[in-house]
Amino acid sequence: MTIRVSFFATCLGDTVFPDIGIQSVLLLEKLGCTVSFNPKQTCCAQPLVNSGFHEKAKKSMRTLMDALLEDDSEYVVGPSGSCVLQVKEYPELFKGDPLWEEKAVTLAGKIWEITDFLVNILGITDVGARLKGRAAYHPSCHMTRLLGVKEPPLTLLANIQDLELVPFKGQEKCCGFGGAFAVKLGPLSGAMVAEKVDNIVAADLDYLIGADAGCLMNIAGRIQREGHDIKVLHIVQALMGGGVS
Amino acid sequence: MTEGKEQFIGHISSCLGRTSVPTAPTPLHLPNTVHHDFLKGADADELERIFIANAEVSSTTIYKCEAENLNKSIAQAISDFGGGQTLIADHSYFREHNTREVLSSDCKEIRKWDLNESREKNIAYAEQASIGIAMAELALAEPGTVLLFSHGGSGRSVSLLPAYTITVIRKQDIRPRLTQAMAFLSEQIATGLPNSVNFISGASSTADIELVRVQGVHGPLATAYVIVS
Amino acid sequence: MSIKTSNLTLNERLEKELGDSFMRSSIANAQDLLNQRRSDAFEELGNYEQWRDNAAAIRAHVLENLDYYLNQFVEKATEKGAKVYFAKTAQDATDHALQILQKIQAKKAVKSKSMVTEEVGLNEVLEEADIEVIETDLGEYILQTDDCDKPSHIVVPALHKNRDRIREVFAEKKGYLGDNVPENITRFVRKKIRKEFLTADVGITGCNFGVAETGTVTLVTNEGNGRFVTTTPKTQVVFMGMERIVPTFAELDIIFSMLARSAVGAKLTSYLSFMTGPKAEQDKDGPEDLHIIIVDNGRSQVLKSGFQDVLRCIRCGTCMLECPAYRHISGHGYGTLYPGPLGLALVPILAGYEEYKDITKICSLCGACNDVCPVKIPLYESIMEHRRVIAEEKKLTGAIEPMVMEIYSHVIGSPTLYKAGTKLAHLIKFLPKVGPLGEWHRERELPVPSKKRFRDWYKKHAQ
Repeated sequence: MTIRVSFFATCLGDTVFPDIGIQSVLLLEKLGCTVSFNPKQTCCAQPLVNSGFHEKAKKSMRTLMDALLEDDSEYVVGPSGSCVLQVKEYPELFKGDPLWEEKAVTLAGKIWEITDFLVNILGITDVGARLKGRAAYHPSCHMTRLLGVKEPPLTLLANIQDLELVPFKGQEKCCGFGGAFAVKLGPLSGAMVAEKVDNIVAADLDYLIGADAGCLMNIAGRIQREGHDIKVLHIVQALMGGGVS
Repeated sequence: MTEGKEQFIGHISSCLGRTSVPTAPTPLHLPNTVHHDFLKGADADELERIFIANAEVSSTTIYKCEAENLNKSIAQAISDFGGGQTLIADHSYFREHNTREVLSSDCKEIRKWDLNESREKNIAYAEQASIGIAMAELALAEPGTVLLFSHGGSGRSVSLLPAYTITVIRKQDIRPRLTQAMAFLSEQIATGLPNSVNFISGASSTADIELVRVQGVHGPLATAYVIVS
Repeated sequence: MSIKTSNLTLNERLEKELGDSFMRSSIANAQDLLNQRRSDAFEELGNYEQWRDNAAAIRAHVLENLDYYLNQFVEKATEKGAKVYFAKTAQDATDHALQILQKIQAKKAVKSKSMVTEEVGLNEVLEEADIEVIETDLGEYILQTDDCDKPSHIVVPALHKNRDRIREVFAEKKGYLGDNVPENITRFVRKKIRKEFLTADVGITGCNFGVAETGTVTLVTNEGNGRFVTTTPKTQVVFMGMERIVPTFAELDIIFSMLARSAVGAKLTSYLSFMTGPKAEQDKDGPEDLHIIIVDNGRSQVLKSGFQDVLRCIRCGTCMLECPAYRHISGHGYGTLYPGPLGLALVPILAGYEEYKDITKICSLCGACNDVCPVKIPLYESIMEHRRVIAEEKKLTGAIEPMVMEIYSHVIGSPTLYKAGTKLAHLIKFLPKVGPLGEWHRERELPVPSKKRFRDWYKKHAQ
């Protein structure tokens, strides 16, 4: 009996980086899951919550909850630590709500960030991937500190054949994305990503690999602006051979 | 009665959701006791060794001696600091060892913190002194720290105003860390805690300019410990 | 001074600070150095999380019982001969101080570093009354001499200044003829200030923690100035934030062990000074009179709000050393006396949302501060909650943002509108680079959403 997974594409995944969604689904299927995608899903509403508009955020949260729970899959999996974290906070946000608290609790109980899911649910640490080159991992703040998913991505990356994983200075420091922060305090965010990219460049990498599209969009944008030849990949892309970025 | 106390503290009570100050606090339960495990079971020799190692990290010079050579060791420390006007606390331990009298034969000038002299004269002498000699109640191995009481003949100035300080410690008074020192202070409450108590870890220092450490700011420029077995 | 340290707007402050390359490299180096030292110090101590748990438990306990412990502290201190005063507002605090000093006809005060005295604007009040105030902490002395420049960090206030600037300031204002070597500058300052200690009428200090069981005032210092100002002047005035209490000496063990390590990676500072009442009758130094001014200035407001945990703060400054935003703008970027994550968590509730709403924007929500706070203040959660209060309760986000958010919430709330939105996303490249797009584009390339969406691929794939 295969494991049934309802896929949570995330808004950035749905629009800006479709390849992250594509590779995620292909990877899950390769590893034996049956994956469904409910097109009624929307955004986790993180940008609204982070700006303080919790009540306004709830409309989208309800829409998302219904979409992700509709086909009653055993698991819901998303390729973003920050989005999964936001969904896991729905029970607190809907506390006391006679209808939605229970749904929030149900969803929060079965939603997983993809690397966490691979390692801790599927029990897979080596997906049989091969990617040749020198790479570093960017540990996104929400995923690492707040969601607590630290080891699974490193484990998976360590088992990619021919990939040399190296550290870089200031690796754990925030890249400056912070969602709306990047456009609200543009120059400060710019200063933070500039330093991050300086450190990445100094590490002489072929690939910068992360697990959160927001951070990757930020870092890749700066790398491009400065004209460096470093490929920025989402971890699922690395695990599927390092194709499109 | 301290003016305004009822109102001020009453306001805090109401902010905490109550109408009056409780007669007792809720119990404090520390989640664990890791601070008590430090250097548990270490003997006097090990404590001394660790104390010396940590004191030396903060550039304190160490002298060790037996009780009968106390004055000789202090004299050596004075000489190593370049000698000069010296101030010694009027402490029972120094009186027992006749320290001031013995040192006065070598010292250019040595006086005690004198309760028969005026405040101004005492402070002036301390300010001019090159060396201050004080007695420690306790020493702490882990941070390389000495605990000084200041009252009566042990003026606060003795270990502060002179350019250099020599602190005498009995080896048997070396404890593992702050935990034991705080317990010691608590024990003094019943018999009378001195109005001034100082934990001193090396000389005065700062890193306020570009985080560059400079030793010797407003307090002593350097310190020495004489450990008596 | 007061809690507000700048009259510039948020964007003006950010522009100014981001343009100060010396400060930025100085703060970055300080962060890297001190964070490593802190990490090493706690590695050596061991059981970091357990020590934090203890420290957090102690501070939380004190706040829950603050009325009890403050009452006990006041009783004991008074028994020992201290005179205690209560200051609900900043003005009450400076009024008390002025009254005390004018009564003894004080002409000169020497101060050891105290954030609370800066918070209430003490120096300005005393100077206006013709009382000379001399900051004796080296960092504060540098700032005071440099036309009362504002501190950029709560523990190392002159971190934003380089040695050349400091030499220049002392040459101009104090007749310093030497070079820019820190040791030489320090020796000069030692000599300069020494006579002030000896001739001042009053010593003014803060109080790191008051010990309730004995009424003891404690000071954690390195330079010797904290000891000096409480040894030679005949009068001592202590300013104490009302939440800065521990029940007994035993708790000081935990708190001080955490404080020095967190702040600078040291086991202890050079001096921990415990003062209980004025000097005894027969003592020949120390203050004859000890006055303790206990300051509220908004703290009781914090106590009854949902942000009580922020009052646990032991003022170690670690959160700002860890903060990636602080790294590039220093304390000056925040425009508040308490900057960094502490500032974001504390200032809006301490001093008012209306005045300080903007500070909560200076955070990318990375959560690093939570991990290093020695007393486990939920800084991240506090900042998030302040943003919610500002947006939803106080409605201080202006007219445009709520409208934009409302529209956005409808688009993402409706599967139909959302789907339409995803179809249009690839048109971003045709939009003029203004507003948020302009902000993004100034610093980095915009992503190019593909016309073919994930859901288009999936539809085909699922067939």
